[in-house]
Amino acid sequence: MIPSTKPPKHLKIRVPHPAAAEPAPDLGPPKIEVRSLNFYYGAVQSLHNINMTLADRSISAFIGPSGCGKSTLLRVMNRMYALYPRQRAEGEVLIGGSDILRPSVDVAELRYRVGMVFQKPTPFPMSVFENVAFGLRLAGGVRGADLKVRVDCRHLGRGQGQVGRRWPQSFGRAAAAAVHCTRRRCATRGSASR
Amino acid sequence: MNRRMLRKIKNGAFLSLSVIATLSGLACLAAILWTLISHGVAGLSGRIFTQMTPPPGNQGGLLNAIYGSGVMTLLGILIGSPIGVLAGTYLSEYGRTSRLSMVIRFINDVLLSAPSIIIGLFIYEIVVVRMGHFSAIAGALALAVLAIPVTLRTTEDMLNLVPVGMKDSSAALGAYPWRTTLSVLYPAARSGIVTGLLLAIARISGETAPLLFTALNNQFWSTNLNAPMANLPVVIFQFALSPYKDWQDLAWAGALIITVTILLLSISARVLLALLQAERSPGR
Repeated sequence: MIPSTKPPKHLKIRVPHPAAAEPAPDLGPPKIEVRSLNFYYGAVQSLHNINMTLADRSISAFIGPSGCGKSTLLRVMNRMYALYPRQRAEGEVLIGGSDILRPSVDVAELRYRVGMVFQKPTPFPMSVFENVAFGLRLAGGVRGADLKVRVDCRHLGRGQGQVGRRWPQSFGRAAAAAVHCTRRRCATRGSASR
Repeated sequence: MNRRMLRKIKNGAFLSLSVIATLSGLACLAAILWTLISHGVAGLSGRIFTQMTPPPGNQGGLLNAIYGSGVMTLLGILIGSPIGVLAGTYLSEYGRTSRLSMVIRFINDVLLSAPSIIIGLFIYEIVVVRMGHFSAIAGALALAVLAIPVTLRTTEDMLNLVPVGMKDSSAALGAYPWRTTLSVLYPAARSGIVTGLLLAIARISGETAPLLFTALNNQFWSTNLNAPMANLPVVIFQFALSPYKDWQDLAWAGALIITVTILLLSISARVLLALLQAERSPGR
């Protein structure tokens, strides 16, 4: 177990200044650009003027103490916060050059392109196969035998064909998490082929 | 030591109070069941399921009433439950905090506790009076109005119990709200929603008051939905109040049939759900 990293009350920690997070120039053109982003949970402002760029085809990590806004920032990038009525974001988040915070953006389509895996696995109440196929079905155009080829649950272990028919709830937590990740990965693969 | 003693005494007191409460509840149930069985079994015979309700002094059964109750309950659920489930879905998923939902929730609570005779009068006014005669359709509508608040409330409660993470994950995959509701939330809340439907069936299949004003009763076999139709609750009401011994026996038998049917319905639903659950998680 990781011990709690909550800072003492007298310490006020903010997301580090954007200049520090600037990627080295040789990483290529930016894929995601955040410009003067402010985020509010109701009346409470929790992100203060965030500016940063993330390069295409690179892995980036946000590191900070618990409650400093890492997840909040992530949740802005596919507008997960929009599911909750009192949360709002101001500023610009450009993904591939277009601002995803514009009201006209189709959030479902955005979330389909910008994948997100949660800390806590949440397998859906259906078989492993159906869980993994969920994203592909959402994409549309993949069904029947083609779906069976695309959905590959074998790495989830034991008995190949058997495993797909069972419910993820019947496995342990780790396997449920694996199902969750596979579902997400399959969905993205589906989008890449569009 | 003293504090420990006190704690033990408190614990014992509360434990015995809850045991007494449980036992008195169960005793009432047992007494009702015992009375029903001891009186009802005497009236039970093959005739009950093959013959129509008789005039006093003649032999007969309850076939027309059993059929009528089945048809009207089924129709009532078919009309009422979609409205209830969809309205519950709206309250839980779309308008959780809107003003309209608060109003709907309040009205639904009023409807949930409204005396069923009022519902009967309401349908009488808007359906029976306009049609000019009693009918099975009016009966089914009255039962539907009774089924709506029960299914609405259970659907909303059960959907609210689905973990937020599940909804979020579905949205994070790019599912529109309607898709999340259909493919993720309904399956997750299925057992609860089905239980709500069964509760609604149990509630409406025993209702007498709303049927008195709508379907009335019919001494003969009738499958015409546009005409008065026999039904168990009204037959029981009529026969039980009559001075004739054979009618009273039929009323007891009818009461037993309703009770056993509801009991079997609840038990089989629970067994079915338990089997389903077991099949999904053989590891446990």
